[in-house]
This record gives sequence, C-alpha cells and structure tokens, in this order.
Amino acid sequence: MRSHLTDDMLAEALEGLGSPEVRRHLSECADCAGRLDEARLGLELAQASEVPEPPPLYWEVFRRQVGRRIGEEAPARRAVAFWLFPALATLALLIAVGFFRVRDESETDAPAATLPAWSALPPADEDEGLEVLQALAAQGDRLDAALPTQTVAGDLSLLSEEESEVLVDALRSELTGAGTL
Amino acid sequence: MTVEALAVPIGLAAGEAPRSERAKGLREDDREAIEACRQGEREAFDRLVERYQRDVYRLCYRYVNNHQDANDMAQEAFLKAYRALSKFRGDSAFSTWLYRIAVNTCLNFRAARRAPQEELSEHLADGAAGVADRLQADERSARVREAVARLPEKQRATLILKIYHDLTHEEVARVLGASVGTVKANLFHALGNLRKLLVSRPDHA
Repeated sequence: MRSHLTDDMLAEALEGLGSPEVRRHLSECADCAGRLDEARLGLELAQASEVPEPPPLYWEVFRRQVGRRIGEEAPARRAVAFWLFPALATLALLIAVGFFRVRDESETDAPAATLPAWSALPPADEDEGLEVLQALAAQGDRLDAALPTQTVAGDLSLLSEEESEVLVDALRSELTGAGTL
Repeated sequence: MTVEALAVPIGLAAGEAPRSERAKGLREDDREAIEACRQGEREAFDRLVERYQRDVYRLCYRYVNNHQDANDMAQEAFLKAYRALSKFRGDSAFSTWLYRIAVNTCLNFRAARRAPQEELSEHLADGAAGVADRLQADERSARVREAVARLPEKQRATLILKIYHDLTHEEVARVLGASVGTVKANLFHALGNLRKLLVSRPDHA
C-alpha cells in the first residue's frame, strides 16, 4: 500500500479492526502511525472526562417533571377547539387596538415628570430624631451579623414543588424503615 | 510500532451503560411500554423516562456542558419523543431513536446560543495546582468537556455517541443520517482535534 491511509481506515485501526495490510502500512509509514498516535491520545483524553452526577433525588424529580409537563400538555391539546380560533383572533384584535389607543394618549397628554421643590423632612442638621434612628440602625447591623445567614427553612423554601414532594416521600420512607437515605 | 499496539478498543467513560446491556434492536420491555402509551396509558411513558433519563441527560450534558441546560434539553427531548411516539416504527432500538431526538434538540439549542459557546473560558487555563486529586480530576473532566463542546457539530455528535454512549458506527450513522464511512472519518478527526485543543495546554502534555 503506497498512498497514506484514509481517515476511516485509521478509525478502524484505532479500534483494532484494521486489515493486515493496514497494519503493515502503519508499521512502515511514520506519517500514518503519527496520525494514529494523535487520535489515540485524543481518545485517552476523551475517556478521562466524566459528566458530574446529579444528586440522588434528581432523577425522581426529573421523571415527575416530565410526567407533569406531559400531563399539562395532554388536556390542553384536547381542550383547544377550532371554534375558539375566530374568538381568539377577535380578542387579539381588540387588545391590539386598545394598546395603540392607550399609547397614543399617553404620548400626547402625559405631563413631564417634575421633581418636588419642597420636602416634608427637616434638614439633617436640624433633625433631632436622626441621631436616635442612626443608633437603632447600628444596633440592627450587629444583630444581623450575629444571626446565621442560611437556614434549613431557607434551603427548603428554595425547593420546587417536585423536589418538595420527592423529599417528603423520601423522609416518609425513611421514617417507616423502608428508606435508602 | 507493533501490531498489538494498534489494538486499542474504543471504550466507555465511567458511569455510562456498557454495550452488553443494550439490545441492538427494539427491547421487548420498550415495545410493551410504547404499545401501552399508544393505547393511552400515559404511565407507561414514565417507565421509558426512568429507563433512559440518565443516558439522555448525559448526552445533553455533553452538548451543552452545564446541568441546567442539560436538564431542560433532556426534558424537551422526552416531550418531543412523547409527541412523536406514533411515528416510531420500531425498526431500530428505542434508545437510538431517542438519541436522535436529543441530538437534534441540542443542536437547535446550540444554534440559538452559538456566541457564548465559541470560546473556552479563560479561567480554566489557570490550572488546579495544590488542590485535592478529586478536584484535579473534575477540572480535567471539565476541560475535556469544554474542548468537546468546541468541536465542529458533526465531529462532536459522532464523538459523543461513539465514545460516551458506545453506539456502533452503524448506529451513529443512523442517528446522524450519515454514511458509516463519514462517521468513521468524523470520529478520527474529532479525536485528533481534541488532542490539539487539549495538549496545547501545559498541564495536559
């Protein structure tokens, strides 16, 4: 074999599937052997990469979310009737007309915003209550610093509906002795 | 170079299903679930989601390279599969058909978000000297995933399906609508390009 190996031949050789002729060529041709080595190194690098594993409860949440979306979609598809389309088109037209009328009025009639020249608050150097308020504010800062910034309740409030359901199920299983947590 | 040195089988990354566990045709339990879905039993689709959610999620993750988008793409792929279930003819494995949907979903997503994917983020070049082995492995994994995400579309799709999902060349060809020869050539180019992208970085040499 005089000419160099094609890419698909080299891909087969990478898998150990090359014909004896291909193997012989590789043992004699430094260019093709070099290209194969490059690909082999690329393969080793590719195999060294993993996808991070999500938390254990994730898969249950995922399955429920897909189920919920399918559940939401199925009745919605059935509920949309063709007789609704003219009514929806009319409604869209009315909304569009209303929008443009309001916009025209707001562009022509609205007065320019002005800043008040008078304030109900006294100047800072005349305000006797200001010192008391500043002291209270400083005390509030110390209290904030003493409290933990993140709580279990705070974490729980961030859970989605599906995540909460999965967590409740997992805790219930755990309490009845059938859990895996 | 010895003949033995050439025989390097293309294997799997950790955590992904080995080929021996996957039937090449339509699995019987898949066929039953699909038939039940077609007869209106929505819960049967739940079984398919449970069976393939990990593979689909990982496939999507390889494309979009972050959890949130992978989650969205994987959910979208299952929804599309559910809608199109009546069109599935059963002449290939359900997983192959599902992968095709997932690949197309990710390609559309990436096309809409092309700009942010064009460059590797600079902070990854900082290296992870002094941190624990696990963090270094994570860092290396992240760097490889970023490099994979930079490959041209067809090379990336071929590499993901062949290396990380252990599809045969024929299955990859079916998923991507390409010839087997093209798949082999794309795989070879993808691996060469991956090496160029990664070994140019000092701590990968």
